[in-house]
Amino acid sequence: MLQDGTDITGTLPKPLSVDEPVQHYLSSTSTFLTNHILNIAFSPCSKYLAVPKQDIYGRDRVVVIRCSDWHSTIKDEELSIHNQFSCTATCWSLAFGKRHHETEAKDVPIQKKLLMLSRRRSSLSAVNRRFDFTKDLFLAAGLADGKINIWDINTGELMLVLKDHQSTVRCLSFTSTSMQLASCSSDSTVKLWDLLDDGNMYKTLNEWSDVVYSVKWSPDETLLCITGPVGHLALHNTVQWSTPMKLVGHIHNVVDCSFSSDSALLATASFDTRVIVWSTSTGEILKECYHKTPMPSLIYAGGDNGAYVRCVQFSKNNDYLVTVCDDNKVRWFPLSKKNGFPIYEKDQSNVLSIACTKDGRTLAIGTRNGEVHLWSTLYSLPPKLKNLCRIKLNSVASLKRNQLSDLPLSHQLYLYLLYKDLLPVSQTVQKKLSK
Amino acid sequence: MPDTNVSSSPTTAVNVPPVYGGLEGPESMYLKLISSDNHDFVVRRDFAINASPTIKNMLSGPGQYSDSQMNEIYLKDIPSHVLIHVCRYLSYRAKYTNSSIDIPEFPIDTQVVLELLVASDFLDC
Repeated sequence: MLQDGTDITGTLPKPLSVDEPVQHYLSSTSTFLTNHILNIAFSPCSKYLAVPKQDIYGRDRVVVIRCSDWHSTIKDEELSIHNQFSCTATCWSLAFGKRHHETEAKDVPIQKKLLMLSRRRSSLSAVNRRFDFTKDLFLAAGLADGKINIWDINTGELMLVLKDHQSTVRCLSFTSTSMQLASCSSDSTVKLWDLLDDGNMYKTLNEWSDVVYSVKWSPDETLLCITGPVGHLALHNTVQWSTPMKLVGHIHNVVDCSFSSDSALLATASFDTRVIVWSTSTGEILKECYHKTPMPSLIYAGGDNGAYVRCVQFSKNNDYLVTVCDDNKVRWFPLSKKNGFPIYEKDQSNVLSIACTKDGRTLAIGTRNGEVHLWSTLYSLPPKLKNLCRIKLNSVASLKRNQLSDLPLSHQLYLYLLYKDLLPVSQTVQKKLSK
Repeated sequence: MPDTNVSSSPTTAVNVPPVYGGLEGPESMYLKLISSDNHDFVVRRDFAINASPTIKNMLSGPGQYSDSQMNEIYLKDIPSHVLIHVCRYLSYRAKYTNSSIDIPEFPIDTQVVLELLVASDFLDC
C-alpha cells in the first residue's frame, strides 16, 4: 500500500532471490571485515556490480560480482565473483566506463556528430597510444590516498594509476560514450581525465577552497555538476567552459547529484533533509522532496538533524527519485505528484549508498555493516506518450536547450518541455525557509 | 487505403474459429480513428480508452462528439504520419501495463516528435 493510499498495480520493491548468496558471501566474517560501503556501482550493461570491501588482513579490495540476470531464480549458475582487485587504500568511489561508438548510431543528427568529433579530436585515434581504452569495460576506483586505479574487467589487470589528487578521491564519473573521467577530491579540486588520450588530465577546476563531495556528467555529456559543502552547487557547460551556473537553495552539504536521462533535470541530495530537483536550462527549483516532516527549522536543517540524505538516483523514464536517508529508509518520490512526499518507503538499517541498473529493474543498497542488498524496483506503468516526447526532445536538444523557445509550439507546451509542470501549486514552504 | 475489417461470428464446426470483433454497436471491439487527411486507423477500443481520456470522453459525451453510433472519431488536427505513431503507442502501452517482463524503449523518430508532442497533448495520453 502506498503513502497516499493509491494502490499501485504491480510489484513493490522486494529483495531478489540472488540477494541471499550475495549477502552470505560479502558478510562472511572469515573472508571480509565489516566496513562502510560508501559507494557501489553497476556496469552500463547491468551485468557487473562492484563493491568495496576489506579482507581479514586489513587490505582493501574491490569485489566485482557478475550476474547475467539479477532477477533470475537459479542461484548458482549465473552468479559468480568475477574479479577481486586489491587497493592500497580505502576505496571511496567507484565508476564503470565503456566506450560507446555513438558517432556511428543512426539517429544522432549530423550537427551533433560533427560537434562530438571536433571536441576531442586528438583522442579518437588509438594508433599511437600506449593504452587502448576503446574496447573493454573498465572499472575506476578512487582511493583515500588520492590515487585512481583503473582495471580492465575482462582481463583483470591494473591498467593505469592516475596520481594527481592530494587527498581522498570522493567521487568519480565517466561520460556515457567517450571515456572522459571526472574526479573530485577532498583537496577541493575537480580533475578531468581523457582516457582515450592515455589518461591525460586536461582540466583542473579550482572552484572553492573546500572539499568537493560529488561530480557527475550529464548523460548527453554537455554538463558537469559539482557539489560541495554549505549548499555549493555549480553546473558547468563542458563545451564552452563559460562561467558556471550557480544553483542556490541548499543550506547544508550537498553530497550527491543525479541527472535525468534527457539531462533536463538535476536532482541533488543534501544534509538539510531535502532533495531538490532543478531545471538545468533555467536553474530554477522545480520540486523539493522532504525526508523529515515537518521540515526542520533553519538551525537544524543547517546542522545536525538525523536525516541526512546520502544518495539520490533518477529511475528509468524519470518517473521516480530513489533516495537513501540516515533515518534508515529508502524512499521513492514520484515526479508527477506535486507535493514533496514519497510514494513508498522501505526500511533498511544503516543504509548508506544506492546504485541502479541502467535498465531500471534492480537496485543495490549498501549499508554501514558491509552488507549489500539487491532489490527489484518499484514498478511503474509505461510512461505517457507526452512524457516520452518530452524526453526525446530534450535529449536531442542538448546544447541548444535555450533555443527550445524557437520551436513552433504553444506556450503551454513550451513550459511543459521545461518541466514547469513539476512546480508546486503553493509555494508557502519555500517562503518559510527563506525567512 | 485500407478500411474496416469487420468479420462475422462463427457458424458450426467442431473446432471453434476465432471471433473477430466488429465496428458496430456501442460495445464493439474496435474503433476507427480518422486523421486529418482521411486515413482510417482501426484500433482496439479498450486500448484507446485506457490510454486516452480524451477519446473516452469523445465516445461517451453528449452533443457533437457523440460518435457512439458510428464508433468513428475524427481527429482533424492530427495528420496520418503522426496518428500512426499514436496507434503504435496505444498497443505498446496495453501490452506492457502490468507486465513483469522488461519494458523495451518506445522508439520515437526525431522528425515526428514535435507533432507527436502536440497530438499527445491533445489526446492526453
